[in-house]
Amino acid sequence: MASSRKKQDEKNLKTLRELGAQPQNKYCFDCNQRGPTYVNMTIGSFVCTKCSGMLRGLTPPHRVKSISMATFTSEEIELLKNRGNDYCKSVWLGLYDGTLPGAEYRDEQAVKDFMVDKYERKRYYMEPAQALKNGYTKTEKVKPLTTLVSDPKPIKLNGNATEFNRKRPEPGKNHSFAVDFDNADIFASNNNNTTTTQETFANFDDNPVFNSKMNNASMPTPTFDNFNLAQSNKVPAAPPEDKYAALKDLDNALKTQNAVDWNSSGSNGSLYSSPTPTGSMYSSPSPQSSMFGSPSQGQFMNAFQNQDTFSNPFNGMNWGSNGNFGQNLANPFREPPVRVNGFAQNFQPMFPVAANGGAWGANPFKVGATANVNSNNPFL
Amino acid sequence: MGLTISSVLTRLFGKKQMRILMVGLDAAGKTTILYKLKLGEIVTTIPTIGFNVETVEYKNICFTVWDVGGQSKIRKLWRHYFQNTQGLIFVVDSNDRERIGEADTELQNMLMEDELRDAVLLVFANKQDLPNAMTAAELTDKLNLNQLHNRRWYIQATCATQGDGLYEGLDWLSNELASK
Repeated sequence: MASSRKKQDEKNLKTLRELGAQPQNKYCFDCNQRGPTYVNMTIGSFVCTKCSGMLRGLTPPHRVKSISMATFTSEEIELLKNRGNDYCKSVWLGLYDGTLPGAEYRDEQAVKDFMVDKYERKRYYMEPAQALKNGYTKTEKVKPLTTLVSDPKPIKLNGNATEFNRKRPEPGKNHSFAVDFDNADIFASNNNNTTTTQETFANFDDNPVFNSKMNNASMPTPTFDNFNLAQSNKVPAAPPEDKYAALKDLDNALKTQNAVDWNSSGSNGSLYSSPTPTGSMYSSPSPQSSMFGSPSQGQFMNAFQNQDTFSNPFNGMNWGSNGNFGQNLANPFREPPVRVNGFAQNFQPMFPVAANGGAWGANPFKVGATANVNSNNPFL
Repeated sequence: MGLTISSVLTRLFGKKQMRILMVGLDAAGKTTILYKLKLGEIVTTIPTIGFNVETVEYKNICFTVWDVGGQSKIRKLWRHYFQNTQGLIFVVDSNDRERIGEADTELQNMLMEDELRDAVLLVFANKQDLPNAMTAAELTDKLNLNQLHNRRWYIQATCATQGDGLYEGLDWLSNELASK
């Protein structure tokens, strides 16, 4: 019983450290300092020691826990898994359009004032549902591809620079991946098409540029928006799609002449094409699952990993240990890479050094000895 | 002869010493209390790793107050501070209904320790300014204080940020020390 609990604790701690090693959680959510040592359990963010102290002083106080000196329940780990700094940014800074302070930002009072604005006054707060609508959760769900194959300069697509940046902390990495992706040849299609697909998939909410970009797919904007917002909107989306079906066929025919058609590009075709008669990649009844459902995903990943030309930035990732890989179609990359360890070890020395060094160095019994002076005291 | 005179002088003018150990769950307000007593002001604290110790003079008694970090994994270090402790201050976040059971468990475990058999217990029901705070009576019940045997105890409602109740607690401690 006790040992099983210990095991669970260890597992939770490991998960937590892995979460903390994800790029977005590597910096304090409140002051941007590198290497958070605490988690804010009230909102689910990763913060530094200093900010954890200030968060405790808010009204109402936030609950903070040390990554190395507290124990976590599975529920708490689950919460952190579902949130983290990216989520918190889209919710608690959803309406924030200024530039966020950089890592050199150290003015304690400024950080504190910003916290008050952020949490007590909720000045930048956006309802999670709304934040979701704006693309956060969707992006999160499809993180593999959006992270991997996004355009290095996606801002023009979105129109909202800050929002977009927030979802892509490491554009450089994405870029290299995108290039490799093309080299991998699994799509046997022209690069433009590939990129366009990915971009639109990544985020095409409220996108004014979208229409022009998507002309080759002959998709009407309304249809696309409907598809975007939620899958439940599929039904209204269908009719306008049919309206353009003829155009689409034409387009497809043209494309076939031009290059290899999506549907004909071997087994990979199933990834991006839909089973619907129109052949439109966007008219699939469940586009997300057709693109990211486990079978396709597996295919995709395998194809991906087998490419020689592909310099995999995720090589360090331990696919095997990823328990969620199979079931969690939403995001195989959620479980973070193993390279975490190097970083996580930074936490280790804290306890022995601070607690032992401090406590024992200063000899807690010393005053006990002075307390013996009391024996001189006739009142005792 | 010299010894007698010095003991008489100590008796008349000397200060009594009292060793106090202040513990409680993390974020209960221990460090804030310590520095409010020491400095009379509110300092922004960070979660305590290890301990803080300060001497506080009040009513001609020199209280040496040890404030030890309360996060779950470092609670097992508390016992290293038990020896010679005359007064135990247990700080509770009155607003934290979720963890009051956990606080109770920690308190009861501690009170079973032999080294603390002579220590008096002062409970600070802290954060009384918060709207959902449990009253001292409620906490007395939740912490099973009435079931304690052979223990002098007292519960004091406090608000460390205002300084309310802190010196009342020290008053009780000094009375206990005098009555020993």
